[in-house]
Amino acid sequence: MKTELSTNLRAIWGRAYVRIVGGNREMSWLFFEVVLPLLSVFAFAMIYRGLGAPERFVGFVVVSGAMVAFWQNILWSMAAQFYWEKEMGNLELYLIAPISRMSILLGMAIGGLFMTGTRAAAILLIGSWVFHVQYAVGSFLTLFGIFWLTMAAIYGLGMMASSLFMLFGREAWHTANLFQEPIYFISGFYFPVRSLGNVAALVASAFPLTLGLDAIRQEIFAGSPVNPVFSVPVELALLGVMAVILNAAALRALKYMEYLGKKTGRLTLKAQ
Amino acid sequence: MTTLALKDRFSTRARAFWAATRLGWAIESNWTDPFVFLTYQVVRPLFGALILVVMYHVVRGANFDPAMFAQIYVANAFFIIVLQSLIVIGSVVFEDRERYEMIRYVYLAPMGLGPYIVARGASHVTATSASVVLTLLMGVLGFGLQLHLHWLGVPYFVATLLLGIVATLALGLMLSGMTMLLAHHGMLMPEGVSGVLYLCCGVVFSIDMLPGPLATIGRLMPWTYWLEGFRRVFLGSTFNPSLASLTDGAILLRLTGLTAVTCVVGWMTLMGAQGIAVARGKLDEKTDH
Repeated sequence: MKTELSTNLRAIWGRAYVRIVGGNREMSWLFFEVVLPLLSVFAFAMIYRGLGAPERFVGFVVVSGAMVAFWQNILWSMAAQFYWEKEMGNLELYLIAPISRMSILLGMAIGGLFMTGTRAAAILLIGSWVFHVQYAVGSFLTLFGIFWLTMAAIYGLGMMASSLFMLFGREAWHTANLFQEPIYFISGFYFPVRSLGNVAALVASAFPLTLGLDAIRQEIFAGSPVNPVFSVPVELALLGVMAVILNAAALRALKYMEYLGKKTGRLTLKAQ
Repeated sequence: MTTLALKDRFSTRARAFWAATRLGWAIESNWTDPFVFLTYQVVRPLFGALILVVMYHVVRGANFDPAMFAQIYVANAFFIIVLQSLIVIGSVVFEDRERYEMIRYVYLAPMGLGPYIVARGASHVTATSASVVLTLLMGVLGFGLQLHLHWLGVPYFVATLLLGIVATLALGLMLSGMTMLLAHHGMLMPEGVSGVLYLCCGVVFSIDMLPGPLATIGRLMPWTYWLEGFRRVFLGSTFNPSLASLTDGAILLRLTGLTAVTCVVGWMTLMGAQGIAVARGKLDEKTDH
């Protein structure tokens, strides 16, 4: 048991290490992953300015711009990564190693968190400075809790998705693309999700990012009319439940898809 | 060189270009049936347009301005070509270098990397046109968008469309050149660059709203005039007050000039980057992590 834990911890560190070293070897990513996405966020903020929207909407865009970084990390560097690993020939090595698949995914997440965290922080800091965003944080502790519960839930979702990508061929790239704008839309990245109507907002809140963003907005712009779906305590509770369910489901999904992949011979099938 | 030799050379290049276009199309689309492929192609841009529609409605509500909405919607629809094409062209080098491991053979082939990348991009522009048409259709049927394309405006529209596509492919060449020198993380760079164009070229707000240097960048980009041309041809109005004094011909002339400059810069960047990549052994270096 103890050996198993230490092997998995070493696997997590081993997978994270490659990304940390890779990220530091070529610093050009700072420009491409921080500066350029920042300008995209500026574009959405300028739309609101152009339309004469209340200033809180610009704040919504800046906060959401930071959260986009995490979603893109999950999508491209975790979920779709198993597909890349299969193409590169690493996936079979992971599968024969005496470790949990989730350790590899956790390693990817931790390794990617440095780059993603830098991007999110830069968007938040520079965006807030350029557009003079005024925050009124209700409780830092609650905000901290919301953020980490959201991360736990969406990374669980990412792990579940990675089990699917493990079997994908060229559709992997298209599928990852498919999970961008539609997710930004249903999660209310650039507008309060209640704007879609009560029923649509309720359906959209089955997705953890929707609840996370809604709760963060309520907590970070306390006192402003943010048109929430539920109150913060309810959203916190729902996020907690989702985090547990999604991570447990991810573990089962990984095992099942691995079995299915072996059965259908798709696990090591490359360039299909 | 005799006329026959020239003809032969042209036909060889045209065949190679066509083969690369077909290859691009096959890589993009033949993993599934055409219907599923088309669905994948249009869903992302359609939701992109929906985000904009909701943003507009959230802010404007009862003060809905159909003319302004139409100007934003039309430009956003055509900008799909830029966004999608750049993403695909920007990933060609990574795919051929790290996944298919074919880049060294493409480099060695008589066709060379430049025309190959353009051909791969051209095949995607064709696929993207379906997204643009469907987005415009959704605007007309779903949001009451009123587009007026007079038959006299058709040549202007075709010329504008083609010039913008050429400029986009040229920018794609430039980005491909840069990606040759970058590690795998540069794969998101084309999307970032399209975000910069989204900001600077007056897609959803006037370039006159931008602070000085960004507005200047916007005025030096062919896509600013490209989108202005579409607005004039489909809606008969202008979006950027600073361009209102320009005639339709002047818009087209600026678009032509800036497209030519983009082509030269794009080609030179690609060739320069290719030279550096070969000299430093980066052309087929695998960098994924």
